[in-house]
Amino acid sequence: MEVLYYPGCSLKNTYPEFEKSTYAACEKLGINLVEIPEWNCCGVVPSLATDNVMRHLGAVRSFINAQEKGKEIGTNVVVTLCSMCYNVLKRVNLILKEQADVLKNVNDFIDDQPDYVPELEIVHFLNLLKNVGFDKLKERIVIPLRGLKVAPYYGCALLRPDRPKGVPIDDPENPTVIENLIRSIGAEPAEFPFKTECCGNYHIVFEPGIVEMRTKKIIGSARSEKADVILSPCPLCTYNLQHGNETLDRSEQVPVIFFTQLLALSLGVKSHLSTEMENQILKKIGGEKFV
Amino acid sequence: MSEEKNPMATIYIMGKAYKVPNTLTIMKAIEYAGYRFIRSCGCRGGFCGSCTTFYRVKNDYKLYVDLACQKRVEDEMYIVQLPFMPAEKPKWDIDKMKPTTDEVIRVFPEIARCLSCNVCTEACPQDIEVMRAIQALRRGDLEDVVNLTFDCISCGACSIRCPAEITHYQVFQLARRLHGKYETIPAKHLMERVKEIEKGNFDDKMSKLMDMNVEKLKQLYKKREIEK
Repeated sequence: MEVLYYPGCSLKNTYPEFEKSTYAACEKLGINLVEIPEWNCCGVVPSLATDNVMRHLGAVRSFINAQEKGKEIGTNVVVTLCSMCYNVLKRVNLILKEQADVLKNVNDFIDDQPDYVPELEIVHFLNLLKNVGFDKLKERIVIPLRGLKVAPYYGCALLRPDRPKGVPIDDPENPTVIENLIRSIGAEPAEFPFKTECCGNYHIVFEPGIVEMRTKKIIGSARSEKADVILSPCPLCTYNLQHGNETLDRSEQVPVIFFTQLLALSLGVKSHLSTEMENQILKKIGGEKFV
Repeated sequence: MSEEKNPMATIYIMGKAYKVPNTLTIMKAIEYAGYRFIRSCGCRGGFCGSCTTFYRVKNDYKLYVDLACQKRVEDEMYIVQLPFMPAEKPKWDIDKMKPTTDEVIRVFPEIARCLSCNVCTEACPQDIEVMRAIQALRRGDLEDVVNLTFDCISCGACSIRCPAEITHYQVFQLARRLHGKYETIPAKHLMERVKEIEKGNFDDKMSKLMDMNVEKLKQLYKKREIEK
């Protein structure tokens, strides 16, 4: 299966392990990620004013490049990994699909590229896995992570807001897609009431105290459920949760890793986890033989 | 009759109309109109970027940018030159930096505000794809930034148009220096020459030049070896 892939700035600059583990897993699963040439920064925060389409130009330019590349390889599916990029791209694409005047406006403004015909589908990697089928995924697992308890963290951007309709990747109140992934790789999902709690987002810049307060609760919840790791789908959440961990005693910390790292590990390919972390997980699943 | 051979164009220099031969460059036309350059004029060869000029033409809403020494006048052209681009140059210590986007963003946080409007590219008199270069930087591809911006003359036309208030030419300079210092192989012959200079191999020749009188210097300059 060949799909277009939008990496986003965080994966290229801050968390290359997120991208690398995904590539490793995809190769094993027969998914060919084709990076969109010359993709632009998504714009990070979607405009809340309905007429401020200027803020969406970065996303639209990436769509145009994706559209042209998609014609070459014969797909209209764009996969993203970063929650924030997913949220922005999904929302902008839905706006362009639904509002012909906005679409005309941006196409008129962008007079140095072909027009965007809003036929792309923006899909988060978790839903791509779901479409492949978690049962099928299970058959490909080489190292089932039996005995590992995993807290599935969702954060906000994958689930909220449901406007325009169709943004959430799952039920916003009680999502289960990460739990299903955890089960399919042989691990046990922790009951994790804080799984959709906000990490504090960009308050990390000017009010890190807010992030510390919130992530302490999230990490504490995972800890009380005896989770070995927190599985995160989001670079910013990961950054904030790791910051939260740093403010806690070592005994109170719960390591935060990307879901694709655990997936890659169970598929028997390079997980891009730290050696310490990987050994810790392998020890936990009783597989001294794996260490 | 002579007017037909040499058709004239009406141009507006900062709002005032002048009739000038339409074969002239903007720079020559400004001088033809009687102005004497004390700035906004440098090499006259399309390299230095001093003579960056903004203009509009009749019945066209677009604002254009070009080098005055390179662009020919057109009839009904409204002209103003950019004497100086106001921008503070932040201080950075290249020895304490890493060749990453995050480091560049620390010095120039405003690059994160890029709207992808591409107005910078339209403004560039050197036809540099300015927005592409900023986005390449965001993607963490310093080498791409360097290759895209090699022809930058630091005129600042992009920066004066940017809604995110990025000073692109300074950002690109930092990117080029980081790439040059950390991501390219140092030129061996250059290192050797620097060592020779530090050893004082050229001190004699240098002081001989410094002591020479102006006339002799001029003669020497005229007789210099020129690459053909």
